[in-house]
Amino acid sequence: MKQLLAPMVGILIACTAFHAKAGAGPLRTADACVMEPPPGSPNAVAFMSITNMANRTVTIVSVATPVAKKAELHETARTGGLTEMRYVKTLTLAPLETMRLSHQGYHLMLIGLKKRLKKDDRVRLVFRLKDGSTVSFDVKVCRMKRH
Amino acid sequence: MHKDRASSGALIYVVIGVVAVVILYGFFHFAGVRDRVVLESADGPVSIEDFRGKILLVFFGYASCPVECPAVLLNMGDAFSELTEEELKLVNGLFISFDPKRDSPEKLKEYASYFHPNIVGATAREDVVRELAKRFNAYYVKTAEEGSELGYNYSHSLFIHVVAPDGTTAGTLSGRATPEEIVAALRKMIKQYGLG
Repeated sequence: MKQLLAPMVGILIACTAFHAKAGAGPLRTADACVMEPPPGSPNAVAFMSITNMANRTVTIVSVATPVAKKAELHETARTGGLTEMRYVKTLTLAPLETMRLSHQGYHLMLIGLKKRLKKDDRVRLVFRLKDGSTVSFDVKVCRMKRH
Repeated sequence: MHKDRASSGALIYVVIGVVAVVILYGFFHFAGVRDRVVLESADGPVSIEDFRGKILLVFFGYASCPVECPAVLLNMGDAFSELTEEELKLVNGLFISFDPKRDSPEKLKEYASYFHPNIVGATAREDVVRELAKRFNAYYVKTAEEGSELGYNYSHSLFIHVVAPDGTTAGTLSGRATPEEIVAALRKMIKQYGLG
């Protein structure tokens, strides 16, 4: 039994390592920030650069976070002098494509905050991809910036 | 006899004069009240007229707006922070929510003052806000957000409406105006209206 224990632990560690790598998935983020929402605001917004490191197209089909009732992808659009926000169901990134989630286009909305988010808090964002896998990121809360 | 007639005539003119003054006073007084659009803030009723003597920056938006509205208010708040103490006494911001269903006066006070204590948050019944928005040529329309947790949203214009110290509208600033541009506009007006 003892002879079997060492290989079993080895296999377990290898599996854990493999899972961790898979968990990192094809996406990488940079400059990720959840903007500290003003008091009274039930929602928050997250901005970041998101890159598809894989050599295949990746589609984000949903996002979840424990700090809000729901996380959704939205797009800010300006048409005819009006500004509007539209719900976006999915976001597709071509191989090696970097997409900027910002105030000017796509962004991530955290709707129905369960608690007040403050600067330097960490927020877990879980991206679910079309192939069923998930990719998680811990994103810091930043002081709202001018733009 | 002639004297009595003259007295009666004078009396009639006095009565007509008094009645005319009462009618005219009533007309202008009630017309004023009717035209005064009263909003609700956490600190009581508020209207544009309450800021007479100051330069007022009015912005229509809603607290659930995650990107554009906070950005405008952030720039406005930063601009106010750049002003001297004396200049600051001459300016105010008024954030008017066109989403009274989700934005209570109390919530708006907390929200608006986060950007700067000189920014007042207020709202009113939908028809009242719409009436005021119409006067400023501010435009907004409720849009259904199918599939979204938000349920509904707004398409809206993005301008800061400037009200002069005499209560007249004095144009607009872009919603994208930087704090520096807002400060420059405010200082120009302070000088123009001899407030400084």
